[in-house]
Amino acid sequence: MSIKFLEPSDFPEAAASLAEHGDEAKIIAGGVSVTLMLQQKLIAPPVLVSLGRIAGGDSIRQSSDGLHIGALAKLRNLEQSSVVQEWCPALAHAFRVVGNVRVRNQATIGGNLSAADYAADPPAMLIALGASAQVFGPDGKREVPLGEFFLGFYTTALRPTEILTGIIVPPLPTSARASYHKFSSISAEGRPCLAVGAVADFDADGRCRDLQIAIGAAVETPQRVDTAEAMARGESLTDELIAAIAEEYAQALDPLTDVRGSAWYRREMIRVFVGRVLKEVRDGNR
Amino acid sequence: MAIGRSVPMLDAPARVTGTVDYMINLRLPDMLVGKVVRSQSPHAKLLKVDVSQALHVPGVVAILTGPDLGANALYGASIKDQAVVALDRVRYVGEPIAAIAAESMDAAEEAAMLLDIEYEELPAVFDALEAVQTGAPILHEKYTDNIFIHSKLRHSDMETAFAEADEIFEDVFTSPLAQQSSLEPHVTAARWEGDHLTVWTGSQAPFMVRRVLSEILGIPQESVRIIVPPLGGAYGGKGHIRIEPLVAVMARKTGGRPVKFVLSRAEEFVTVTKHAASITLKTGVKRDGTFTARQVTIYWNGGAYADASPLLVPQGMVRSVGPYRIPAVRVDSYGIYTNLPPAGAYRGAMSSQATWAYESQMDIIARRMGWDPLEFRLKNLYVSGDRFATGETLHDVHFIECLQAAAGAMPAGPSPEVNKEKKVGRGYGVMMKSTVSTSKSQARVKLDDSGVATLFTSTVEMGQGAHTAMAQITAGALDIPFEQVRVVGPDTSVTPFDSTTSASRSTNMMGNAVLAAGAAMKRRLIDLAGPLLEIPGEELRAEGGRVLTKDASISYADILKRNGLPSLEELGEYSTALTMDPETGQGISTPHWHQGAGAAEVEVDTETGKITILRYAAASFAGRVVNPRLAQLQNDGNVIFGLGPALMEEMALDGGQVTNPNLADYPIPSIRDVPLELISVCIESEEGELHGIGEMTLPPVAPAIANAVEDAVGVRIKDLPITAEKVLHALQERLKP
Amino acid sequence: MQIKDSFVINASQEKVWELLFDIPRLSKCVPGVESVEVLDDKRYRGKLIVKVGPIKSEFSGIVTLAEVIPPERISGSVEGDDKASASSVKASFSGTLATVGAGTEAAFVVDLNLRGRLAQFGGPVIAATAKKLTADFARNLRAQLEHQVS
Repeated sequence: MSIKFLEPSDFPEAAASLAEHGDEAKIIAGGVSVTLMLQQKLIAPPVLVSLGRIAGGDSIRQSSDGLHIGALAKLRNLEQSSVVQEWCPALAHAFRVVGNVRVRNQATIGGNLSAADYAADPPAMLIALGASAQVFGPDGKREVPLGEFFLGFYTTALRPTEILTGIIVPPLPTSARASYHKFSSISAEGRPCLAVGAVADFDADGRCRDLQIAIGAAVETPQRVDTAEAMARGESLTDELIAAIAEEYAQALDPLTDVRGSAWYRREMIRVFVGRVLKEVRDGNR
Repeated sequence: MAIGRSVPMLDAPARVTGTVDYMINLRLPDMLVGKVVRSQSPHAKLLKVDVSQALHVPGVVAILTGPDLGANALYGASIKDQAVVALDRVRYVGEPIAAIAAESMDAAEEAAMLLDIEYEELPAVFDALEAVQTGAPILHEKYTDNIFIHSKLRHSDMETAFAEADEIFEDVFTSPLAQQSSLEPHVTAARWEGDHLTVWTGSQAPFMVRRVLSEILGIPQESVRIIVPPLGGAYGGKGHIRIEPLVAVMARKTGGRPVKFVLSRAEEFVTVTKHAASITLKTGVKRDGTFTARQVTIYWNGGAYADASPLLVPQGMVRSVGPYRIPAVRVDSYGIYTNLPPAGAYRGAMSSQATWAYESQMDIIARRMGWDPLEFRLKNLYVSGDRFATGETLHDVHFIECLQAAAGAMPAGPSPEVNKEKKVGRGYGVMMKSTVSTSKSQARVKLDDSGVATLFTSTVEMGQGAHTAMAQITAGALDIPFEQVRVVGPDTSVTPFDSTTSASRSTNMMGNAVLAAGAAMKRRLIDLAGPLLEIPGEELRAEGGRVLTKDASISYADILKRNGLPSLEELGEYSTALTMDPETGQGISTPHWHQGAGAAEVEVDTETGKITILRYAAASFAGRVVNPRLAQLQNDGNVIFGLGPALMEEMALDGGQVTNPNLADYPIPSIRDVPLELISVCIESEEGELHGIGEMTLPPVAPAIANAVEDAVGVRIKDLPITAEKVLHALQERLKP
Repeated sequence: MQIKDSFVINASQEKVWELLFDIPRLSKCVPGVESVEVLDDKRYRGKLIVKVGPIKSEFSGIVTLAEVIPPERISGSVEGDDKASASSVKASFSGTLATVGAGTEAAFVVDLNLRGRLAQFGGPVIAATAKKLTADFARNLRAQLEHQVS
């Protein structure tokens, strides 16, 4: 097919191209999702707007207000970045477990989040960390908490002419610990059956001050369960409480069935892995 | 000596760096691209296929549909029931209805959208057991019960034998529909020049393709030339006719322009599959640990067309008995039509499904009877001199050695306890497989006056190192350095006949043909050298690239030069033609037996059901090993490949439509799924025959893992694949009061 | 795949039945319906656009009514295809109405068979999309009727 391939040099130019071509244009970054959809003939956009030439779009830097990640940062760079590792080893881990190294060398975090494939790893950890998406559009910039970014299968809060330009991960208190687990029910390099990201903050007595747990890959969009998280506040994370929280997650969510597991199995795995991740957060390092 | 050396595979660097000239790179002048248009209905009358609009798309050169086919529109390895493109009926989702040849894929796809196809839906059936019931939809009028072949083995009186048993076990084991998943898909190109046809295709059996095309097209075989470039894997999926007839007939309509078809991954899943199978084993044993009888009933889901099944179902019959001394055996092996894509050969054809059944049952029996699974096997495994259920005497069998080698590679003592959630267990599997009973291989060796030998062979290099092995055998046969041997082929106009590169027959059969050619060449050289050295032939021998006696010698190259010969050629041949009685299966089923064993140590996470393979030892009988390193890699590769059917692979279907025809949702083993420790043993026999090694350690993988899982956590999975979900479900069921 | 649902509408059974045969108004209740043409008293031709993220499919097809038992039961079948994605859909549906207090309970069953390239998309996605379509239909139907104050 003859596709028009545009290479804007900055986000405003890219957004302008999107606006100009409307329905006919599709953004492409690393190309991992887009190429698959093109190959499977699920989409046939006459125009591709590539973000590959946007300078500085892949930056990874610490700042007082948080960890700033450019949407064009490759998953491989994120996984290996000492900035990310220092900020939150669990986050580096969430990037590391995606697919295989060949995929990660190509895929960008912006592309990963914008594709909104339910069976993805990074979203759950980023949501547990309270990250926000930075969006650029015709009306300027806005920020969307990642917990509100995913609306459904392959559907995000991005308006048709908007582009995800970066992510901000707010600072973690030094008393907080995080853990991420990808559960592959079948092949080691396959997409996850279940993704669990957890961040817990503890006070000096070891009681849980705050808890965020996000579940991904088991449900249509990554989700937290407020009622379950509330159970932990002010309490010590005993084995019994952890089991109760895990049970609450298993009951509150409505998991889906696919080739990696039935709804029944996913519900069991939610119970098991929320429990395991909470124990890791309780007992482990940052 | 070249035979027995671990020379590196000839095209390994090219394969790893992606510079092999795979067929997908083939470019011919004026070439068109081809696209197949496929049925969306699993079973329907084809009322209309109107191409008029499609033909107007710019760039479309020709469209092929049923009415274009001549008198020989139907083909099949034995039962000719499959049309080149659908005639008046479609029988599976994905069946070719039309083919388009165009200047570009865009044009072909636009044309595909404009085809006006009308179906009249018919009831469909997808399960083999349902298909044989009265009232099930009939796919081919001639077979009113949808059974297109019934292979029978009858050995001794079953009633008496079961009566003598102390315990009778009856279990059903199933294998799902799966796909060969070679990295390279099916690619075929065809070009007509007058009445001559050249076809480039990724096929394991070029001469079979030539014969079938000549029949379908109504032209002599000599007018058809089949060229096979190096393949990116095949695993049986390219072992029989696939898209060659469609491409050849399409090329007839393009006014002489060549056309190339490259199938997509999704199309692979509807082109050929691995038989889904349901196997019922009824086995009688005595308290003294011996067998009295075994009755096997196998329902092979052949898909919508007989395809290669009439050749495979009888092989499945022989391969389903198992490597144990059982005095009375009865096998009924059925090939059944259903509205699914046609099933074909798969690595370890039929043995994978069969070994899954009999090796799983071995442990079921052992546990119930209170016997050690390893001892029970060792006590009953065949030894040379025993008679098999076909009546033939077994020779050169080393099952006990294979099992002991595999088991011996496991650490001594009981499995370690990790923690209360993770349990460790061990399991074993032994495989007995026949190879092709009737086939022929020819090899032509040409020696030129610089001392370089060229082997002309129709054995296909599909990444298994066949050409490397053949080059070594050639070098060994002539006793010249490996570096002085070239391999050419397959090209049916240039290389001599070979039945097929499959069933792990080539090292043995083409190898023997090469040895014969080499021996003939040596005799010829000695005859020519005699007068030059003035020594009688009987006193001369050919060694190290020279013809010599104690005191005189002359190089091969000099023998030719001094005789004024630019080159010498010799043909060698090896063939077998064995038969079995069609009613009883008695006779000789195979020239020799393929033997393999496996031992698995697995860890089961009792909270998730997930299985981790800690250690796997694979042992095979390799006879006289040509290339130790490649033989070991074959063993290893078989195990890694076997993890797929064991733990992961299953085609998902919805109303006959494959819903996971891609490698994201149909997972195949990745490098990170490889067991933490993988040990390979090849039992060698220096004086023995050259032996195939391409499939031996694959079939034991699944049952060894299932047996290890039962050893670890006490649950028995009888339906492949062994998924974490199935294990967890079984664990929970077991804990219920 | 089968989708089953039922919901209560705050309107009389006759009014609900009337809406089912008011094609222009009914079409507005089905999200993504583009054009509806009455072919005869039992058949309608139309276009339905379905979007899942970036993937847009356009099905052209025919609805054929089988049973029409006023004011309680309607059943029929739908056959449509999307040439661009080499996909087709076949569905059979049945809907029943019953008076429940001052309102009407509408219950329906749809048996859906999606074929072709889109069918490979993934079970959960197709199921969720189909459920969303029928849920939106139910909601829009209710909205149409309950805003009609008479």
